[in-house]
Amino acid sequence: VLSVYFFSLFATMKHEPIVHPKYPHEYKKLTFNEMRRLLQDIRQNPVRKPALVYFCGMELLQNHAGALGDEIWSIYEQVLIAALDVNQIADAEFCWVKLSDRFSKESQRVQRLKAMILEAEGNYDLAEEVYKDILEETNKCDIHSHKRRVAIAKARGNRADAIGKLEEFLKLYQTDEEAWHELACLHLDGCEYSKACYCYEELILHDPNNWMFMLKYAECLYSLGEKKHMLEARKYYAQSICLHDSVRNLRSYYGLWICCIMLATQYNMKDNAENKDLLKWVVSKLRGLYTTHCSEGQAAKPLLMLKMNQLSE
Amino acid sequence: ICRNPSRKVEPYIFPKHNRRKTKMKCADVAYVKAILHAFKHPSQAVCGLLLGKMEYEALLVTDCMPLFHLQTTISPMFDVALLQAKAFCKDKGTTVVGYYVANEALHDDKLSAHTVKVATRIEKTFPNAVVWQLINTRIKPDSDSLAITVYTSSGKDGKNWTPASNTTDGRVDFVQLHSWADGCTVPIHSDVVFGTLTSAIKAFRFKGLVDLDDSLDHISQDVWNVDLNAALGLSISAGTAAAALVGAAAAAIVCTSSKKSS
Repeated sequence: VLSVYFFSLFATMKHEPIVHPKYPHEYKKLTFNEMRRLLQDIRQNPVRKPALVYFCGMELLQNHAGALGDEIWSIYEQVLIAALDVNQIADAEFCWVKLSDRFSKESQRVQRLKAMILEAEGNYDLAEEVYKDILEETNKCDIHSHKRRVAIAKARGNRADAIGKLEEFLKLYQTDEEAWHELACLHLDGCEYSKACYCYEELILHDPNNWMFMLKYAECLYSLGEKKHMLEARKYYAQSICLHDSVRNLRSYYGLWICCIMLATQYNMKDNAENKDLLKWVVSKLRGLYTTHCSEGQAAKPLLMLKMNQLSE
Repeated sequence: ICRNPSRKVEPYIFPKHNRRKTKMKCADVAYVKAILHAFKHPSQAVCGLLLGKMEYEALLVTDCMPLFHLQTTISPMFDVALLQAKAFCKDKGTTVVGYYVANEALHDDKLSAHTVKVATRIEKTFPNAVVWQLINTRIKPDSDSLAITVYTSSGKDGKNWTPASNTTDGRVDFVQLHSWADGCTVPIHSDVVFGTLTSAIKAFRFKGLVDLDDSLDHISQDVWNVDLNAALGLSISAGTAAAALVGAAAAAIVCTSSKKSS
């Protein structure tokens, strides 16, 4: 009896990595437990896969609602948002009605979801009013309402307004990494590379060991274009490789490579020993990555590119 | 029977619609892959390069290289992409001839400032470059209309981009490239291409499309989408004879099915 108890305990503690099915014909083959684990996994590690979430969620809600317990309310919320993403507004309203029956209509979270439905229908003015009410009457610091207001400004095409609202939000929450990242993306959409650099600098201050922030900062610096920025970019690409030396960081290797080539060809650093050494090192690393991880046919074109751009010594 | 020598014989002038000068011919591969790229990332801006060459007086777009869906405005990986395209095109005799872009907002069909910058840069290396601005509202599972606006540059410094005059009525000349045709292009009707696109979308082929962002995150993914080209049964400009036969058979099937449906 004891051994059975311990076995079941270990079975529930087992964490296998979940594989998300890629093609819709695979969605129908999922079992109830698999769908449930999938939705749990997407709640914990958020990715934007609305078709998958909508399909699994509707299947669970319509056919297995009794077996879900209290988890059902999280699933209603998740399916509401996914339904808005795939333009199934009626199903989103259905989920909202269930949520507002269980948690009252005065609940902030329920009101926010209603505003999201209004946004999806295109009623941006009404949605803005709801968010304004939440911010003024109930909770001045509601993170999600602030962020949705920025999203509305962006959806209307008003990039400057979105940036203004996001900066206002960042005055309240200076450590919100997602918001700094979104501000950087908004600046990059308008090609304001120096302002995007400032945002990435803030992110690096928050987390100096994150190789992705170094990488994105280096890309912004490169896009600024002058020699001093190119040298800085080269430095940050190298730092990103130091922090994470793997095939997943292929962008940093390519970034370092293209920086060295641009410095040599366009910024008169052809005879610079440091640049030449770096270039040689990164070319050998890239060759190694392609020969290790790719078949011969796939590696042919990148290796040809590396060969074609080898600067004559 | 006796001909009057003083009678003037006027040369036969072909009717005007046959004399329309084609400025751009597009291979079905290029168009279908570009639209599938935009379809794969519905909430993000996408962009890519167009590869091709000049053929007689017309521009022939033979293939496209999907580039980015995460952030389209930063330059380092774009420079890498240009070098990769150069290596890929080396043995095919093609070059980078244009840029296609789909904006993030649904109703945004205008060229952004960044697009003009990129296009001007491509124009410097290839004087007849084109820009395809994808029309987001026309990208849908039942494609029945051309979802691109082709822009060419007028003006001496190549900065003034306007819609190309032979496509304001929405027509683009589609061709197929077959290796059995010895480098000649086989003209096909746009309905055939739209049919291929519709069937590709319904079969979720866009999930297998790889762009440069994907291949930088997963090194073994092939940014030239050779297997996708084969799976779509589309003509490949440098395919094997077997693949070309498959392509021809599939095209024939698509032709008959689209004729049945229309």
